Amino acid sequence: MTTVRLEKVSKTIGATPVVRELDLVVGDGEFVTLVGPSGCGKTTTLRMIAGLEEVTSGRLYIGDRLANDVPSKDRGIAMVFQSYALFPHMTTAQNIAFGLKIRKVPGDVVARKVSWVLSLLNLKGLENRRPRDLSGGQRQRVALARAMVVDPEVLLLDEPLSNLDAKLRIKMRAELKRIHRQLKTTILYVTHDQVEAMSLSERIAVMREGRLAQVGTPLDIYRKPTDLFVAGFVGSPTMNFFDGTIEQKEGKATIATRAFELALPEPVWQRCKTHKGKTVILGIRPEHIYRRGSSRIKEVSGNTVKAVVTVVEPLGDRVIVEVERSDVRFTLVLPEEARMVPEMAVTAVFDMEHCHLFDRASGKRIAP
Amino acid sequence: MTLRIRVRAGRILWFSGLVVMVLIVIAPVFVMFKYAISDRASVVTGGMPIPLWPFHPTLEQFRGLAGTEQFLAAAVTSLQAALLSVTLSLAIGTPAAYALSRYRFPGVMVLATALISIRLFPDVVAVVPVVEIFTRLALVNRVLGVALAHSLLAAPYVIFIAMGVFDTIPIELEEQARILGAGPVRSFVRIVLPVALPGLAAAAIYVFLLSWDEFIFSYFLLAFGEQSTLPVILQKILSWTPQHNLLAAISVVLSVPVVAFTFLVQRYMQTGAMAGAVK
Repeated sequence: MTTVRLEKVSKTIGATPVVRELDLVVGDGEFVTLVGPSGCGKTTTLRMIAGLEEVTSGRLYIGDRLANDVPSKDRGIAMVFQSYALFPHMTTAQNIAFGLKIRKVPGDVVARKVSWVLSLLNLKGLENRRPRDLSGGQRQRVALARAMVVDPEVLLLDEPLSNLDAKLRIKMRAELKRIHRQLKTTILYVTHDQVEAMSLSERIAVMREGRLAQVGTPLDIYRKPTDLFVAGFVGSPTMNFFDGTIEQKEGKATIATRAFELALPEPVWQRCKTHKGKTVILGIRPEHIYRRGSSRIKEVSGNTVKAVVTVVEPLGDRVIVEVERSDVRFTLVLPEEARMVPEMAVTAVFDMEHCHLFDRASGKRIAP
Repeated sequence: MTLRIRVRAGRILWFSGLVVMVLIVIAPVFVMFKYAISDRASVVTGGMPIPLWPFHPTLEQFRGLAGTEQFLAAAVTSLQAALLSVTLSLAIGTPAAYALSRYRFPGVMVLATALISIRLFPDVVAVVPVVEIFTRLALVNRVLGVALAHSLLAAPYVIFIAMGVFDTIPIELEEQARILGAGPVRSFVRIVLPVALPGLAAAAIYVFLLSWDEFIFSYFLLAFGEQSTLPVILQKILSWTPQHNLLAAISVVLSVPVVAFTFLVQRYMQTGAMAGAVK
């Protein structure tokens, strides 16, 4: 258990900057996820912390120690690779014990620790199997066991769930959370799956093109994305975006898109006054658009839009509905009872308290 | 009904095909074995057809060979040269292949191709300079010299085979070993080598075969010594046109160690050594 601190850490491969001046602090015992599209530098960042890639510039601290030039084995870290990297010629028990044996831990201690981690990860009975005789989920757990058995101060996980099927992934997600609660190890987790990031971590660091786009709790990031990229990346289904002009008529603030006009609540207006008359981007999540008559939202003047259903995607208890009005399309999430079918007319009620406004040029958040 | 007949006919055809193929492979081995245990009357028939099975099977030829000191000495020399060649060429080739596979420096493929293209020269062309150099180094008329020459011939192939093997071993295995505290040597010995073993075993079989069969280099390098390898002895015996059954017996003796070595090494060659390592 320790902290990891990155100060202006950069990585250049050849002439290509992969990570640019990254500042990030992972607290003691914290579960932080690096998330971003592929090629954003998240795995490279993890590999720099693991000591598998050299830091081009900047400082990397593990605990209070400057770790830029410390060899991997002396960093107090353990890592689980996306591919698991199990040693194919060794049994489960030999794989797990490898790190301990290298560190010349006495035999009885090795046996005790291996047995402890086997039961922690429900691997009892698989001690003598080779990796090729294990299922995907079991291999993943062996890889995790091999990393945890050396008591790392920081556990680095590189997309450990991406090779599992959807059902197993959700199960292992809960398992990881349980283990973290139990061991309180500092965990740095890399994934491209924003749902995984949201559900697992205490804090999320969203990366884009080698830079940190936003760091915060999952709720922070969901509620107040700092820019268009984060807003579009986090949340499923994706946030709706509209080009709109902020106007003020007869004391009422509105935002006018190509197809409809919506009233801006007072707090939002207070924050975006400066952009009056300008075109901004209005963002609103599908789950914040309701259907007329829903008890979840009060219909006030200027927050309804009449539209026609184009696509319906049933998800069981909910349906994702894509609607259209004058060539402007947006999606909303409705309860299954709504019984939507294409060509149906629907009146959407926007919960403008939950809208987001972004500057069109910079993509930065304006309000609320 | 017709379908069943057709299926059965297909099976019979397929099976007969297999039988023919097996016969083609087995026939020469059978003829060699039959002659080797033939008595003189079954070979020298005076115009009568040679029987399919000898009249009086005998191990006489083998007993004769076992009693010939020169032949036994050559067999020992051949075995020494082959095992030494396997050891030397793997000791040279494996680290070289590892370096070529792991460190992708500029020109790495040029170097690898240059290595293999050495073998494009006919052996007869290479033998003169090799003998010349080995004479100066006092390596002629010695098993070590023969083994070195055979390693020279085998090394490019060993490097190529081993490079292919190392290329299939994901770098993550070594990175993981490094994080867990293993140094480069330990990671190579404990992780890379065991995983590479099946491929390296194939290379070992190849080198053994190459050395065991090799004639030109052995002939010239041992020309003025007392030692000789089996192919060289065989050439000497052939030059006085011996009986078929003696030749066949020598052939059997020549084949046995190759088969034995292959069986011995083959248990390391189970497929799917990498299975379960990644994904």
